[in-house]
Amino acid sequence: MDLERYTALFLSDSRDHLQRCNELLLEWEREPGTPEPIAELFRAFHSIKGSSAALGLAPITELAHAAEQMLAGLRDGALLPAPEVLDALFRAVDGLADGVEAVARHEPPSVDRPLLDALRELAPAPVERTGEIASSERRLQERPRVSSPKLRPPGRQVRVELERLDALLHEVGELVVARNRLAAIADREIGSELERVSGRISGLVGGLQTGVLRARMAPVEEVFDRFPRMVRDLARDLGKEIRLDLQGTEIELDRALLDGLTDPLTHLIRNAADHGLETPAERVAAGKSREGTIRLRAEGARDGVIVTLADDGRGIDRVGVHRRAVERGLLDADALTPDAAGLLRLLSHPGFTTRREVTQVSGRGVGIDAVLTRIRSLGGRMELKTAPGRGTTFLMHLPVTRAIVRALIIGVAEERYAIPFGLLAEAAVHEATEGEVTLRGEPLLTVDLRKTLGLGNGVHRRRPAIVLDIGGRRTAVVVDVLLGQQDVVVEQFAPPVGLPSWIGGVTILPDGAPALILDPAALF
Amino acid sequence: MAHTVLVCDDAIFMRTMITDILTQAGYEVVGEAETGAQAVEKYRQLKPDLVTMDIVMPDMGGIEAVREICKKNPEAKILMCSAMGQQALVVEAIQAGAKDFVVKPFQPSRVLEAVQRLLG
Repeated sequence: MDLERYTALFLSDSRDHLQRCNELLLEWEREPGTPEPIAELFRAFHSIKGSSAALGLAPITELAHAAEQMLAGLRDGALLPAPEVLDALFRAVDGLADGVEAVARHEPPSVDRPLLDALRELAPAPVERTGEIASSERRLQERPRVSSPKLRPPGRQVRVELERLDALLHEVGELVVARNRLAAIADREIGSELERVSGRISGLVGGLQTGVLRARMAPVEEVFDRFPRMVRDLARDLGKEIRLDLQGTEIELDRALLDGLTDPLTHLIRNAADHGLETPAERVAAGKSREGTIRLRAEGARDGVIVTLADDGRGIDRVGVHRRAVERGLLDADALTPDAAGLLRLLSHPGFTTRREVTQVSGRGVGIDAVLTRIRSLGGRMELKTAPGRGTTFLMHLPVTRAIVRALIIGVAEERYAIPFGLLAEAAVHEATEGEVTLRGEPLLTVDLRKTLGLGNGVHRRRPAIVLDIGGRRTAVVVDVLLGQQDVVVEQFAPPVGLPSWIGGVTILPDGAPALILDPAALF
Repeated sequence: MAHTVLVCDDAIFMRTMITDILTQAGYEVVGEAETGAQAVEKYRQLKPDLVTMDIVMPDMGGIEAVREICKKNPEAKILMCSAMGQQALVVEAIQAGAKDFVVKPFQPSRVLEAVQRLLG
């Protein structure tokens, strides 16, 4: 038996089923009046039971069977959908998810004896199987299927392992590099047959690249969908009332980015629930609704996707952050209270926290540093907005893909660098050898790349500057020469320790020379 | 010519496994169905020599599908695939016209034995 193949099928199938179980249970809990989703839940548990049994994963089979028995009881009316029953089903889903993830890690799933006992205690004793029960079981199958609010797009779908798409994308990346080299050669012979063929190949490679990138896209709902359940549990644990509002779930992102987004979002949502939102009593005292809202929203932007996580809680205590920063020696005592960007910088110091107690939910410290590092590693950037008493918003700007980016190639001294187009606003000319770039009379916050690279002051008076839009603020980077734009293929590499944060990656230029990709937002 | 089979199960896992077992033994799986309604429709289109039928499926359960198929072709060779603890349903399926059953988790040899017996 091709165990690996079946295991992969089992994993993807079971994860889908468990995700659906969570959705159904949440729906059921929120609106107990809706047609009870017993039949679909039953089928999901039943399917997991069957496939886990085939793979000899007894602990999972046993748990799925126990959950199935509870549903049989609910169906037959022997059990009522009381809160503790739904809770037990939620825990069964968790237990099954733990088992499935253990299998994914190539570990044997463990038996959660207390959970099994709890489920069995709730489930009514199995009734003698008679014809009558059989027909009731048939009734169960014939119940109308609870319509899912999110219909999958029509058309046939196939499952493909991400590694295969990665390999394909890598090949396309190499092809793009080769195409760029060819185009560079063909450009020397304008009007030649070589140039025409090169142009044709460029178009075809472009189409292939778009196609492969599109095949890697998945809707953000695949990540967002796990949060309703998480927020429900958080609200219970924290004694708060929380509404989670999901928007733009159909927006698509590259699979790899999507996977990388799960942890930071989980972290920020926990923070929002734990630290951001007040208790119902506090909210009422402040003249707000009892129920706090966390809004998670994805929207398309010019250069990628913006994911926003907003809460309507108490906001970040700037004065408290300031005090802690001074205590920790991160700020001088007479420093001004930080603005939003400064606040984010302070919060993202490893282990920085304004809370002294450790809570069960979000643990010690805010851990914004981990979130920020991850967002940056995904090629994105983050902004913070907060208003006292009104809440906190994190904006994450993400590229649609991180594999191939459109970049401006610039030169400083003998070296060439690539700057992703995402942040570019316009180009300007720097008239002086030092000081700030002025754009239409306005001085801009300026970084001279020569200085950053340790090459001393600029030698020419008139040098090009790239004007960037970082969180609504115009900034300028002064370089030696602008060399043109290019699709660059971001090569994956493990950054060595001590690599400056403004180096975002590495790529190969059309002539075969390597170039560093700069993350201009990290220069300021 | 190889005997043709229609595999009906809502779990892709089970469909894959049954298809593998049958294909390796030289049978030709000509179609798969995920729901009872699909099973009936595909049976009509493909006229397979044999059908493997899961009991618990959305839209229309396996037993109902057996009944529908046998209404049109009482000779249809249908092998029920049931989970443990569904004995009563198996009895009902046989009454509805299924010819034999196997219990999940499958022993490939048991599946093939039942298939061979049905196809004579």
